[in-house]
Amino acid sequence: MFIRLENVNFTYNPNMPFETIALKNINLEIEKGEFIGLIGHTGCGKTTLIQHLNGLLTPTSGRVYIEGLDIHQKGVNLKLIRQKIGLVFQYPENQLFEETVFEEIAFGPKKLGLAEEEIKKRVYEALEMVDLDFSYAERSPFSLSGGEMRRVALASILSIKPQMLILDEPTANLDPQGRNRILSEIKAIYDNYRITILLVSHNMEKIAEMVKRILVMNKGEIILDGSPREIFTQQAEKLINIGLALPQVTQCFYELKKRGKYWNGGILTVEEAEKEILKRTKKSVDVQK
Amino acid sequence: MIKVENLAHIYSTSRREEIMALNRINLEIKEGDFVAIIGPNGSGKSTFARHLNGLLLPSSGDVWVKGMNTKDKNHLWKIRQEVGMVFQNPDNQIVATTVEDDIAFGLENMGVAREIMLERVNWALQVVGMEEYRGFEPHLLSGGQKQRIAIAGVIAMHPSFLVLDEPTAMLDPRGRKEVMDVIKRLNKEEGITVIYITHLMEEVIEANQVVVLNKGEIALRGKPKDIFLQIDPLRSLDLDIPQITELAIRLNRQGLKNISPSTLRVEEMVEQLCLYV
Repeated sequence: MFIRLENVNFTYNPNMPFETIALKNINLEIEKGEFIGLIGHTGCGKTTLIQHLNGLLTPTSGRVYIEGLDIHQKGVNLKLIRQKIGLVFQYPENQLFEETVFEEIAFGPKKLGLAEEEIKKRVYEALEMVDLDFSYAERSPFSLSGGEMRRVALASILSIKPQMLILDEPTANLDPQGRNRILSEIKAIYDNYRITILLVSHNMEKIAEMVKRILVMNKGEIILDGSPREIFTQQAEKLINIGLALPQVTQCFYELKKRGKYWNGGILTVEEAEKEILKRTKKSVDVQK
Repeated sequence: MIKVENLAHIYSTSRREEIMALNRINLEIKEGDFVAIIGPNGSGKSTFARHLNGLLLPSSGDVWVKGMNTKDKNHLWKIRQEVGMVFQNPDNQIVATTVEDDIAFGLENMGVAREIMLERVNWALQVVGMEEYRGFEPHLLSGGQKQRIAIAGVIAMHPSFLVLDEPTAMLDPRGRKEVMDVIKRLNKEEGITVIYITHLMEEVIEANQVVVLNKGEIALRGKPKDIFLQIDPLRSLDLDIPQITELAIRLNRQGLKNISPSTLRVEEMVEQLCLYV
């Protein structure tokens, strides 16, 4: 098992007037090579949870194991954990600070004390992974568009060669073009490099298309854990009850079912919906004949 | 009415290059309208918005607000009272330490009498559905709530026009819905003219006029239904087509003629599909 959380609880400001329970009894296992989506309302604990996965936060109670190692026992080097598990924060472009894109992406590898040649190699590899031309290397990160800055920020994590990549709402506040671009890069990184990925997002349509497993959080708990098809179709009711949206086409079939109309267990994409509707409408036309 | 005549705006960059941010814009916005301006990043949406209350002035052409030209300095303050603006980031628009004070800020600057001020603050809080938060410190509110406070602060000054520049871009789906609901209500019930800037197609459904900007020029304009029919030009502009509209277009092309290719909402699709079974 790559990552295991055991009865993890986390409280902000314990025993203070502003005490807030952010995580309640989280049990979670993540295998290498998984592609996971994490959904839930703002304030449900998503960001708090992911900060536990690389030791940025220490559970109030419970344990976090990475490759079998309890990361909060004495003598564990958390720096090594953070090399394994790269975390891309929300609005990561706010963290850019170097003069050139090259220096920005080289920052992590330099801190690792790598040889110059290796650093160079990693920078160009990372640029390639986020589909930025090498000519970007000498530009100032601050002269780039919002979407490009975000890709540079992503590259600066990839250059550390983490085994897992955690992305906290990587598409927030990007226009559709920038958003589609970064999502397709994340998908390509997963397909080509098999890095374990955990993606926090509010975009149900994209999540349904991209990931293999979805975690749903509500009020500090993981309330659902399953494939996109299970979550969005079999557990639709539950999602709606906590005020989360379904992908639009899934929603459409859910409404049809409520009206007693034809229903194929799990429609997630436009293609599936099209096929299913054409099949059904053809039948009904035949029957009418 | 706001009348935009042959508006062009040129920015000069630090390298002394000139960028034509807006060109040949002609538009009339009547009182009570809900106009949506959409376009990809860099299409000139925000530049256009900033011309409506004289934050930017035309390089050529004119913008008239109720007959006042934005270039006329004598009218500038009057114009800004008529045309209220709300921006993307709610955190940048909140100035006071309580919700109530924040909403009163503009009124105080205008020198409005205290009784009237109280009345207006109450009204604004009620319209945006935030009465119970009047004594709260703004930083304790969610993004959607903060944005509603920003809107309340603007409408308290009783503008005829409300310009919103991507007001939901930084909000989560719940906050987005809260803000959209308030904007709809302002337009339908309070009769405030709304100019709504976005890159989200699903947010323009409510508008009675949609203007699509591309590279500083008006590429398309019309009612939402008609705009959404022009799927290929929209796609070439990198605008997002809602999943349900995409499905409707495909089904229509496959011969299901009862499914309108400009279906924008899930409920509409469900109604139309029910015709077939």
